[in-house]
Amino acid sequence: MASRISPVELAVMAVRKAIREGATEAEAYVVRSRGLRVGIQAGRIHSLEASDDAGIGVRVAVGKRLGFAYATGLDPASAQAAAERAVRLARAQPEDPHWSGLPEPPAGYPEPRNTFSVVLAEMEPETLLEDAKELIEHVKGYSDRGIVLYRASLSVGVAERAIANSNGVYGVDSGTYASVMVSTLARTETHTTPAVFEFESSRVQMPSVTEVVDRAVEKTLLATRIAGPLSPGKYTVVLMPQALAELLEETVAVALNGEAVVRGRSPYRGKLGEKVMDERITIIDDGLLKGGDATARFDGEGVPMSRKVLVEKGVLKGFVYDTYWGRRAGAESTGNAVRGGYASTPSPGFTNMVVEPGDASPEELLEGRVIAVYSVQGAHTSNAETGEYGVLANPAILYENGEPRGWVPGLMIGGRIYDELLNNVEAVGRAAEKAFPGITLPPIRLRGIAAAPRG
Amino acid sequence: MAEDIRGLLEHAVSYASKQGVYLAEFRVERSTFTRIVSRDGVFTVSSGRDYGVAVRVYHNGSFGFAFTTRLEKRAVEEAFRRALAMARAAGGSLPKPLLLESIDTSFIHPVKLSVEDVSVEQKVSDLRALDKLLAAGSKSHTVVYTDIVEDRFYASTEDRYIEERRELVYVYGSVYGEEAGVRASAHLVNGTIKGYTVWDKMSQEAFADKLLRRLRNQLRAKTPKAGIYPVVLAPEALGVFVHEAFGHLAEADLVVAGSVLNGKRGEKVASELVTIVDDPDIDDGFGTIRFDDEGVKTARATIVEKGIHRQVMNDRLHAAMMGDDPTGNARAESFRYPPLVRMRNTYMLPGDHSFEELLEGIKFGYYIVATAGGQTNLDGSFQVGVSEAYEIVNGEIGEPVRNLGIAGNTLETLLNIDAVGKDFEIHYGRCGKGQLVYVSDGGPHVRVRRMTIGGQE
Repeated sequence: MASRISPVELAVMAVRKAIREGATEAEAYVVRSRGLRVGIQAGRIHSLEASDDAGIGVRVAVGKRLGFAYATGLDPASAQAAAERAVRLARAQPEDPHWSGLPEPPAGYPEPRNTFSVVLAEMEPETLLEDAKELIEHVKGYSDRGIVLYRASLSVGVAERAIANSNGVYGVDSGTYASVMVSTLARTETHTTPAVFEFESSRVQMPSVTEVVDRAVEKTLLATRIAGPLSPGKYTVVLMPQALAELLEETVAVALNGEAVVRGRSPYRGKLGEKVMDERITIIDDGLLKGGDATARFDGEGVPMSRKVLVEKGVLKGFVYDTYWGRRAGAESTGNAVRGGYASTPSPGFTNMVVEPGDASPEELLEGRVIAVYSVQGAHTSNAETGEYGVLANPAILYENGEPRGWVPGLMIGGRIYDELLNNVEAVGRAAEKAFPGITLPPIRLRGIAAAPRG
Repeated sequence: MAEDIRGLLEHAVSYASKQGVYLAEFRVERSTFTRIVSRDGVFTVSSGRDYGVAVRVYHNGSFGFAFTTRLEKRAVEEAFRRALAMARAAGGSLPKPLLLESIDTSFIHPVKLSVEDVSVEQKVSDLRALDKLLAAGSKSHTVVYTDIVEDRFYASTEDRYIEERRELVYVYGSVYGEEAGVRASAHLVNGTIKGYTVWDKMSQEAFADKLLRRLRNQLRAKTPKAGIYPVVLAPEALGVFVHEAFGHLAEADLVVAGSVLNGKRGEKVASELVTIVDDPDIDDGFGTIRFDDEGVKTARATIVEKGIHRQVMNDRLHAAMMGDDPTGNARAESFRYPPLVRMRNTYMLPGDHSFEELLEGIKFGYYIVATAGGQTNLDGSFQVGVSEAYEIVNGEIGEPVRNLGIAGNTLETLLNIDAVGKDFEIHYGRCGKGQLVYVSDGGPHVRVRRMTIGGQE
């Protein structure tokens, strides 16, 4: 057995090494994670995977020159080599005139709730497999309706993060997670529906697999009937939580990012205090959300996590910053330094994004003749600077007075999301749901959205 | 093969063979990264070494997978035992993957100048030249230079020992501008596996010219009209279409899951002008690999030949399941993941039309040059986001058009291709399917009779 050293001790050791090598400031971020994943393909268990990963990322400043290096494993020699390399890289590059230092230690860290479960941390493969088998069986129960399980996965894991910097920042945080993903489609006599996707996650327990399957099936069955042809034009569209999340993550989330603001790429720059969205829309970034997917004691550079209202009743209140971009904006870090892991440097990003629910009932949302969009393809091709998008709404379901009339295949929708969130909102649903990890939101009804069906 | 790694792999194979499993595979991967980023002239340099061993076991109807970042005999034995325990516990009903004969080989992709022989200072200074040109022509810009030296070692209980080494260089540029209240951005990517030759392939001046021209066109572009129009796709856009809209549907796991190509072997799925291949062996492609991550010798997959669907891309499991020859399409992002069926270099073969002939007879349509990526669904519906496009008016290229999206049904679109150009280009990118891998795609210019254009009016 190799000698064992705790992640935070390793971080401190790497910081000291970097300072000895000539760094004026140094930070080390260590992540150690273990997990299990069951992969299901085409209705069968395909693989069971165990992961056991660890590594260290070292960020240093030599004056105003910055360097970063990482190494896999928790071996002290590799960690020290990474520290040395980071210093060498820093010396090889031009100064960053804006650099104003690593964060200072906080007065203390919050203790968020519902982020760790011993049961999840110590789950045996057999337990996870029982859930996987139940998932497969539950989908089979819908086979008379043409439902096929295209893909599914169940994951569970535990991660420990440790950070130390030469200003005295020192922190350890442990968390667990579990998630279930299900994708189904249906084959009818006339066509195959699009594959739809459903997801649920928790920090403290395995989500119910049957509930996730039921949600996926319900959505899939909406597309087993095809609606009559539509002509190109403007329609009232209800963006369901998943579709709305896909579009917001590529547009609004970027525009509220402090880096885009400082660099002049955000359309919200200079608009603090102004109305930028409909008054029914409130957007929050909450790093301390109880049981939230991204909830933790501190962010990727050791700044305490916090809750911020970014858009309140349509009025712009703030942006998300890490230390570097916060200081460049003349503000402070909001505890939003996000890191992909030990192998990447921090940059501003969302923790848990919450769009507050409104007051519209499902009946009000679907009143009249509307197109409900459950998911979109190609949201990542949207333009965050202008809000322009042109995506495939799939599945798009035509509703008349609350009754589903069938799937509209090949429907493109397009527009400018920033303008539409300000001027075209008709209703905000009163039920918010988690659409993807770290994003919870209600459906939103928008009028006058350009739509072009397949020719 | 480095002696220590060879010894470790031989030990692992001998250890696994004693346990009587159907197939155990070990992948040692060592990747060294250098990444230089400039955000509006502020540089950050980073580097990393990623090193680990993946173990995959097929036993009793399932795959078990584990990995370790410790390159020691005992850690690898432990990872093997974990992978085996996983496969045992899963108790699935998968058919047996294809077995192969023993082999002992190594291949180094040749480079003109290794990235390891160029100093970081030189790389920073070369990127700075591009950075300055972009700063002069835009309001905000980002440039990213990445190089990766990847050593992949593979060993299996079939007594297969394989080593492959390649270098990848990837350059990305993004610019943002504002003019008379109009905001726009543009992106460009270039790459090579020939070592530090990326600036010889496309100089900083040529890169900046192309990218800034894109930005200027976007700034004075008009919004597209939603509806159905004839479209001419340039090689870069066609490549994204061929990869995103079509290629994924021809990955064996998705075919089995019920993609629209399921059951279409031998049938006409495209116009007879269309031949699409996934080729592991082009001269300078991001998907050019000799062996895949299941130690299978890569082979060209002819997905469509003159409009007829011939082959799907497979891994060992699906080759056995479907009774096909292995194509070597199993790729993993890193040792942290088991391989999936992935593309390599996917492109359409050129035809015999000139560019002018493609435009001829189009009264009004769109010429689509570059995209921001795309996405497909198993039902065969696709979306491709467009970042550079022009109107076609009476057979001539007209004014630029702003961000638009194209969509349709992939097979209908392929059937609607009525002219294929004689030119050919390959482009560089990364593809995400839960894991990120480096791929290339491309082809000639083509004309599609009708395609859905998503507009804002």
